[in-house]
Amino acid sequence: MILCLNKNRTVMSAAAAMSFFATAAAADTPQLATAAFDQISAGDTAWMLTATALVLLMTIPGLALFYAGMVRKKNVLSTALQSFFVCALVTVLWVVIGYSLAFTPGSPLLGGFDRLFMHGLIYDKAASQVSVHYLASTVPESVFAMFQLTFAIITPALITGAFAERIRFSALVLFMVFWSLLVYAPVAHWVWEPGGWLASMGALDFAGGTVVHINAGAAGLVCAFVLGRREGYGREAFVPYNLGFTLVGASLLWVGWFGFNAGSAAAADGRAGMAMLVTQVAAATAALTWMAVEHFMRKRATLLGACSGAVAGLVAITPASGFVDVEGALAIGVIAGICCYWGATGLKRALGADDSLDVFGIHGVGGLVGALLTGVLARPAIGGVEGDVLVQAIGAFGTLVYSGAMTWLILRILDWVVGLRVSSEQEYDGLDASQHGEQLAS
Amino acid sequence: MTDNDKFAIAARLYVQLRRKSNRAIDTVWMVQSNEYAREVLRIARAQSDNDLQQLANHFEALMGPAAAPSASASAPVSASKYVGSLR
Repeated sequence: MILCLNKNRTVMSAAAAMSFFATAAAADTPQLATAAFDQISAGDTAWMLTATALVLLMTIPGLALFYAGMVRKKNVLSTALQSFFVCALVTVLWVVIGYSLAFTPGSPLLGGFDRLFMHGLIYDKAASQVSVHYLASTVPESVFAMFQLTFAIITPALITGAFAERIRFSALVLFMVFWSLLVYAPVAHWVWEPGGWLASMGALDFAGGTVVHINAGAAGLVCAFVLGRREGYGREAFVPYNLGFTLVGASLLWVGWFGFNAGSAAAADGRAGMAMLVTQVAAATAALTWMAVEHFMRKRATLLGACSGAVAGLVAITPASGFVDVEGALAIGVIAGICCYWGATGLKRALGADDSLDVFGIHGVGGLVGALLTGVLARPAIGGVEGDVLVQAIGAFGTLVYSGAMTWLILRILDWVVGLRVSSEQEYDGLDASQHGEQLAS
Repeated sequence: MTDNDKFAIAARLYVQLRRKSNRAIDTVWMVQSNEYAREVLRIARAQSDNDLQQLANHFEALMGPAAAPSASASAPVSASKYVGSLR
């Protein structure tokens, strides 16, 4: 039997909360299953295939260009490479163990090993049977796993913006392996797998405001503190290489986000349409808000401000996109534009960390804004559930603390084992030359 | 509007820029050279500090319209915009 549980429709119950440490072996626990070909929706599958490609496009080349345009010329290639590399690395980790840890029944804290090396995922043409996941019962599990993979890729790729221009490539490789398995997979399980402890509490995260953005933002902030400031930070001007790249990257992110949010409906239906609409509205509103604030504060509206505002709105609408109406999206866009501007300027100065490309200021702050406002603005008519600010806050800050603590632990161990930072001379030469032996033409 | 007025504002700009961005400027040369003064004003305005903005406006007013940059106002962006902050 196929159980059809939408990941966002779990409702908090006292019993669920009390069973925090219970395993998912209960009789009503959804199980991975197979379905006949005629139970698969061609429309849903076509949309999910498209959405998957859109989300992958967000990382390569979207995020790669977005970040590469903001660093100095001597670090452009290494910064772009980091996103590309993470895409390849996480893909392999995901099919080997990551998907199983995140999206199979297990305990409230971590999934099981039912899909180790994707074992059990079948497509049997002769028997007309295909594996399906209970979170997306009308599409083949291969499509669902691939869609979720693209989220697992972009999350650690976002963190690279926090330690840009100073991390050793060998340290980055190991960090991404451990962070993907010890932080991303568990948090995805907590929030999205129906047996996860946050899902059981009723925490709402339609498309990854907590799993992706708060998670990456917290990790980015800790990375910035642990790696320390770049040489010359606060004394020299770190002039961005080409903000035109950043505009192209931001545009790809904006378009790709339709796959991110509307794809999270796991169906080609009206809810996906609403998610797409509110995504566009929030992005546009936040871009306008950021530019207005910038003009008010500094007498100028900038291209980087417009791009940053759009991304801030996209981040903040992510958890809410399957739950709010257009008015909610407008409110989220305005609040995200103001808060993320502060996050990337005033808060950044107050924290004192060299978060190179403002990962925490935009993704961390935007994710928190979106998660909390989802609790306020969720409409039962759209998502079928009421929001609860307290539950949202538990989910958001619980993820913030776990991600920050685990990131700190991973970095400390790696610093001891391989060293995190390049030498001052290598940093002066740039990571393109010192880490990869390549450079842009002068 | 004498050079003394301009020098007084330049001295206050010196103090504020030193405090806010650890930059030292030449106050005497600022009074004598409009080109240098305009560059200092660009740096001051890039600091997003209200006091510096007001001092820069005050000094520019003392410079008078003859010393104003060309009508296109297409001054190059000061690199100091990116000191310690990207956005």
